[in-house]
Amino acid sequence: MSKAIGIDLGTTNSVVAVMEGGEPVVIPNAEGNRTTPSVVAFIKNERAVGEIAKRQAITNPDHTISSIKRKMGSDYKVTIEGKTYTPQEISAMIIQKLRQDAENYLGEKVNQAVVTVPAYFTDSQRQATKDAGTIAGLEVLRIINEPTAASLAYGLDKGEEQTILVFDLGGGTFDVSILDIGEGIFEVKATSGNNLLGGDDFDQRIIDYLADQFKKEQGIDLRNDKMAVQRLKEAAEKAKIELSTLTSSEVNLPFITADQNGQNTWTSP
Amino acid sequence: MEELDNVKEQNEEYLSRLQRLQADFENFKRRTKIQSKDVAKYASIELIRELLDISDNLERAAQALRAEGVQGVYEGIELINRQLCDILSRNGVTRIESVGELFDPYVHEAIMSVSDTALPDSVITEEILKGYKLYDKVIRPSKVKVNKGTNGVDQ
Repeated sequence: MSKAIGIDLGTTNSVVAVMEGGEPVVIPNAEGNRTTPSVVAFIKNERAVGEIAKRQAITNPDHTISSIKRKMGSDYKVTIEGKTYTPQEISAMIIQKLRQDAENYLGEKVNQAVVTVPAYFTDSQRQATKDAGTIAGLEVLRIINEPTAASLAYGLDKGEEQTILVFDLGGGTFDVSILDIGEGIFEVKATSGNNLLGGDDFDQRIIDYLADQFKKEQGIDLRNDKMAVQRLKEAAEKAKIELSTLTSSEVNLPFITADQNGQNTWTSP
Repeated sequence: MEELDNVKEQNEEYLSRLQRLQADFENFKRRTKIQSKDVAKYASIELIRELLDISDNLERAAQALRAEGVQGVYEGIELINRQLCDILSRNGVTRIESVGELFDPYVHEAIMSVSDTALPDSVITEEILKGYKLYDKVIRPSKVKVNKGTNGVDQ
């Protein structure tokens, strides 16, 4: 009996998981990460999805597609090298990559999937998502709401009747939903959020904060130094992740820039 | 009679659950066997990732000291860095080549692009951060500046 996979087809990142011994397990991709950027690129005659596509985006912007989820269910089309693709075809390429990673992990073919969509998705957006799965060669057993999937992952379907709030902060979108749960039935009461707010914005805020502080103290704008910007970016993301579990984080970037005093190590609470 | 039916039904459920668990376990065993080799090989990847930052910083310190003309200390720091790099390379860490190579998203990450018609398309013109591999796995891609010919990547 082959397994069904669960797919979180996100705007910025996607995830694939499988049930093992009654528990969901996130499957790492070929690059060893638990999330795969929802980016598709056409590189000459090759197609790249995920991390690889993201890494080359800046040199190949006309042939790199990201955030295709925002176009699902619309009649938007992308044309690349004279070939036209629908959003569901692009999404299918992402699903195909997730499926491949799952098959590599499981060591067997995968033919069935459950795919999640935002609670506010319309019927045509849901249908487009289902079509994407079908194009990727999967039988889509079910399209379920993202907040419902989150509740299930926390085992909330097994408890007593209750009202819960699901707070879903993604890489580029932020969704809040109110759900009524009882006797295995999930009812989405209300949804709200910000379509253009996510973890990436947090990173940017931290980068700006660090750069502003440094400028105030040292009189140098790190944003003009591309190497410094790269180091700041990495440090900002790391600090953000640390701050999810700690109340403070130290950012330490020795020799971030060389000024005439040689005073260039900087630590901030 | 009803009781018997119930027991039968329950039996079937238990059996199917057992079979599923058995299948999961068999898969798990097989996968663990395959992965255990890899686990040992790549176990230190996170530690190495952090050590590489130290190596980068030692190099920056050496450069800053050289710029200030502190020759003796500069050489000392450089030797310490070489010591660290030797340890890493004995443990399977290699530098990813970048400047002058053709851009390859499997090992390089493009941070910026330039347009220089005198240079071949997709050639890397500058390395902004060094990249490293542990055996065949990319620990971190090198962050680079890539030349984009006038007509993009299609020639």
